[in-house]
Amino acid sequence: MDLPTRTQLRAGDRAAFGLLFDAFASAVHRYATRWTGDPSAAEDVVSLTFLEAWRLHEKLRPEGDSVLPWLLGIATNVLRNTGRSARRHRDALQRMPAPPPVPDFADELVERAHDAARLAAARRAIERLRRAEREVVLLCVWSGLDYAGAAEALGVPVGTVRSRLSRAREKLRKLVAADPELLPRSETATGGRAFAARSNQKG
Amino acid sequence: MDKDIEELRGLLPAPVSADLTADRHLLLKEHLMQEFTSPAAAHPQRRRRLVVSLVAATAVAALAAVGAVAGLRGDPAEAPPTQAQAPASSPASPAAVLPDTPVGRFATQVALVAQQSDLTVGKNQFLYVKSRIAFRNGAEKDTDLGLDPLHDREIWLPGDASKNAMVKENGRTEQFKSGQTNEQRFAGLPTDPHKLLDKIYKDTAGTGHGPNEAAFNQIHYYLVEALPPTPELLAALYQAAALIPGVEKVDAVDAIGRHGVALALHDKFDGSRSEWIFNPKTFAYLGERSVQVESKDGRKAGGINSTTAVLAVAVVDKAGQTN
Repeated sequence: MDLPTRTQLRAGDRAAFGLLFDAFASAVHRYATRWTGDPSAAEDVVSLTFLEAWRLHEKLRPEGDSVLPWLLGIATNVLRNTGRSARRHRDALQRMPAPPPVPDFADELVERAHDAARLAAARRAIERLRRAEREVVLLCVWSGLDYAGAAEALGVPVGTVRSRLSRAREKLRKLVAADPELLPRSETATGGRAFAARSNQKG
Repeated sequence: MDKDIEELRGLLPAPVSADLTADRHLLLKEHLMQEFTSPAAAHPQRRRRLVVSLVAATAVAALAAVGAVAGLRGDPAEAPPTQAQAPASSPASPAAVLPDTPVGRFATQVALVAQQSDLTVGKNQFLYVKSRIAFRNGAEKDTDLGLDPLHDREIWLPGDASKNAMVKENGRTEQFKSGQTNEQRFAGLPTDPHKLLDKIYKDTAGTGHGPNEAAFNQIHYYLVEALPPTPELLAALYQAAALIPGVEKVDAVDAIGRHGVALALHDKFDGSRSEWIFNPKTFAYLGERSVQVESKDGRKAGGINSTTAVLAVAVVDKAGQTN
């Protein structure tokens, strides 16, 4: 996949933003879906994130590797304050397409219901975390950023990411020990196995 | 793989699916690409920018006559006599354009000085500006951390757009390319203030916090951290700003305490007032400030959102040189 360069993005090159969307729209959408639990609402977050990226393109740092941390940082701000972002881009949002219709194939519905259940279960677990802990979990565990990437996205020192993740791990471990039903163990092989293996360990 | 991340991955299996489907991806992209063409949407974030070419034209023009940076640094009350009353009789004189109101008269003076600007930055030169600034922290987040400490910022802007510009701030040095020549930046802008404002309204339609706010910001965008346009266009930009309904003349203070007079607009959407501050006698640009005038979005009325002051302006031969 073609990736836009930082120089192109900083210059406000329209085609580069097209490439940026192709490369990372899915990643932003997944991140937003896991935050909101709602794939349709997540589409608005995707739109707002790219509108903000366009607006803020000159703020992108000229040096660095992947721009995904920058983009997920913008998405994080959008998620923290959807109201403000939506007002800023209210006209543009109105021009965006309506949310997708609910599919009418039975198979797909079943699959969606299954996904929704998993999503809901995972959300129940991370909702027990503080917001700051939730953000690092979503970025590091589900969006594949490393400590440095999450630090860049959140605008905090790497050490802060590390300690937040560590606290999140402690907390989730205790929560799961107290309430094994909290997480959808049976629904993924890796999840179940990892849970079983980890639950015997001590700190 | 880090131990914490690995364990959390086990504890929290990532939900599958719910991905953006290919057709939704295309649909969203198609719409967004249309938004990406809007010039005002592309304007840089305004809180982090300085009004460099305001400086360039007004400050430098005024100072060229009086010498050195004294006019920028000194108390306005002691500022040397201005040349603003000087030649008001050139063919395209800004004198007759604006209404005879306080803001109209003030912006006319600013435009007259701007029109006398003879600042040029050669292809092999850089415009150097040193400022003292502070911006409100956490404006985009849940928490308001207040102003960050007042600190210096230095920028070098190349006369040749293919060269790197450089910024020094908070001990960090960054290089970047503006990506646009001045010709591209100011292409298609008429020097008649009324026509110019019409064009700006058209370019910014449907963006920003409202038509007047968007137009004011767009003019700010043309005037910040960039080489100045022609003196005629610079003067027209000030006049166009003064023609925007709601733009007023207010008293203001810059980041180092210099009192001045500002062109200002109260943004009804976020409750802040943006001020471009000038020396009341020389009409040299002093700095800018944003004041919260209504309590809104967790910001209390009376708070300062940003404050800047220009300390020095020079044309230099190399990035990093200061005189």
